[in-house]
Amino acid sequence: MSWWKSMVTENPMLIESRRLMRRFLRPSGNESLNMAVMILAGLALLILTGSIWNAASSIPPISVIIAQTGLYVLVVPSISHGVFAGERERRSWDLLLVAPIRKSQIVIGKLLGCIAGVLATTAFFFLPVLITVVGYQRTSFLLTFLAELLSLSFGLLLIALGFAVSARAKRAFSALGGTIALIAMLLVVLPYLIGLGLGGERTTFDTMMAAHPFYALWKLYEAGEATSSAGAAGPAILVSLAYLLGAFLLFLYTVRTLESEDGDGAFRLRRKHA
Amino acid sequence: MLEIQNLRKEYGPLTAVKGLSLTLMPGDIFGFIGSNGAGKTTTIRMLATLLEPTSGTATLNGVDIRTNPMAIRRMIGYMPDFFGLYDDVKVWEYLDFFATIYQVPKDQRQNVIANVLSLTDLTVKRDAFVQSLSRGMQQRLCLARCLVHDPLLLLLDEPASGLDPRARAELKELIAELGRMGKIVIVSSHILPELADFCNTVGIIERGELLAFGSVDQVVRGIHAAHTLEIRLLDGIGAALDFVGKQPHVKAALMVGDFTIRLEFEGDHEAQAAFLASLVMAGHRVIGFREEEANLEDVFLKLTTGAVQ
Repeated sequence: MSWWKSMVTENPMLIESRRLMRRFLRPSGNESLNMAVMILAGLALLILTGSIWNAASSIPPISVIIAQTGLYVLVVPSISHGVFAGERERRSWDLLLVAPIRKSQIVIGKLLGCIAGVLATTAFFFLPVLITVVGYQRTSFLLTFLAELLSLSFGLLLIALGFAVSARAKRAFSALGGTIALIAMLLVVLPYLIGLGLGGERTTFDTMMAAHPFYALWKLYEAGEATSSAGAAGPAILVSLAYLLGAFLLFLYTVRTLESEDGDGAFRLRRKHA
Repeated sequence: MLEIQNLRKEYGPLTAVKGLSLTLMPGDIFGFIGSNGAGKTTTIRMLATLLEPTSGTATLNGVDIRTNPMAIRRMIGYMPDFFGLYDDVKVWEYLDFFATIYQVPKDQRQNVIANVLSLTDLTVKRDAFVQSLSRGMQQRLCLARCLVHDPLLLLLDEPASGLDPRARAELKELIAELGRMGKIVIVSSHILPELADFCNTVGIIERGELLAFGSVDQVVRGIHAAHTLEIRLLDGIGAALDFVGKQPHVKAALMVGDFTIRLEFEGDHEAQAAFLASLVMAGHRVIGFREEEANLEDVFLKLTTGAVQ
């Protein structure tokens, strides 16, 4: 219980959630920009919900979840890139290092803030997904659930990726660039190269692409459209578990990176001399 | 009590701090003086547990910075030479955040925040966003942050840099108050006359070596054995100059203007009094007798070459 208190309920880094909310949801700071973003987001939600409402019977819920996952790719790097690099850039990192707080507390506190951001994105799509689940004629609840699980675990993996890059970057902007480059490499360049390398060899391509989130979601979509969805659940669960494991390993890597930076400032010195 | 023993920091072939040793007692306000690159910030960062010393150590009330850094962190307040503030939080939220990190009990936090805001004169800004504060106020907020856990030792690295004269005066008064509260305060600064005003101990460091350490008076007198005296006479300056030149303790004397003699005097205040008496007894009509006191700046310039590593 004390672990739960220090890491979650009484983790001082929970202030991150408040800061994120303030940055993205409340009209403070850069008021006009925040207000414009909120109005645009509200309009987008209205248009999306209205369009889906009108065509609910012909839109499979998994296609909305694919769009939700696409939004994760845009939103998550924008909220996770600055978690450590931003602290370094504004030079508040030293103040955390001299405080009696563990690195794991910092990482978990910041993680909770970013999860709040992912959940906000998920909430944005909640109503459209719900409408399609109810309205679509051939809804498979299992496949929809698996698609949502896959999407959320991919969101977590994206956060972990952003954290790992941010932990090694000195400036928030370079962390953002690094994260986007990595995501582009993994989701676009690598599949393209694999496709080129394999030529028209479909089976190997399918196997190698199984871990690609949009490909895996597409496979669930196809299974939902087919008369039998047997055989689609297993790979989706495996891919989700792989994402969660990958996220866990990346978080461990982040904590280790931050630990190694403590004490002698070796990280920064190494970069300086590099 | 803070005891620094042979503290040393090496970066490859470069030695940033060379075996620094000193002791500070509660209530001491220690002015750490040195050119840029002299080793002040490295020393402060080692004391703050941000850098691990290559050798040597420091203990605060018996707790070693090397073996028990987590305990040390609870006992120190560190204010670096930059603000490191979160712009998008309110003043009270910022302090509450650090009070939580420093494990101030939840039921005491509001009181603690009110007290440090009152001490740093920021009570009216409690609900303001950090980004809306002036530079001086942000500096005071940084100091308030250092105080939320009632530390024994305050490490203030260039706290007055970039502040206007009024903000500097307020900060100076605040630091003096902290000394009166029994805290050990280490202040590094380039503004030497200000340090002399509120520091009761100073140290001059260059190329990682502590060249002088002690009270301001001790350091000044230790370096400037001779005082400069200025004597103004009504008339007869030539005869007076001859007389002065033959007196004991007088190192060198010269005429400055028509009626003033400036001389280097090596004696103490007793000898000065005797010298003045002999001057008057000899019939020289003295209308002014003044000792020009050497200050920290003179001592600093005399001791250091300005070289960096």
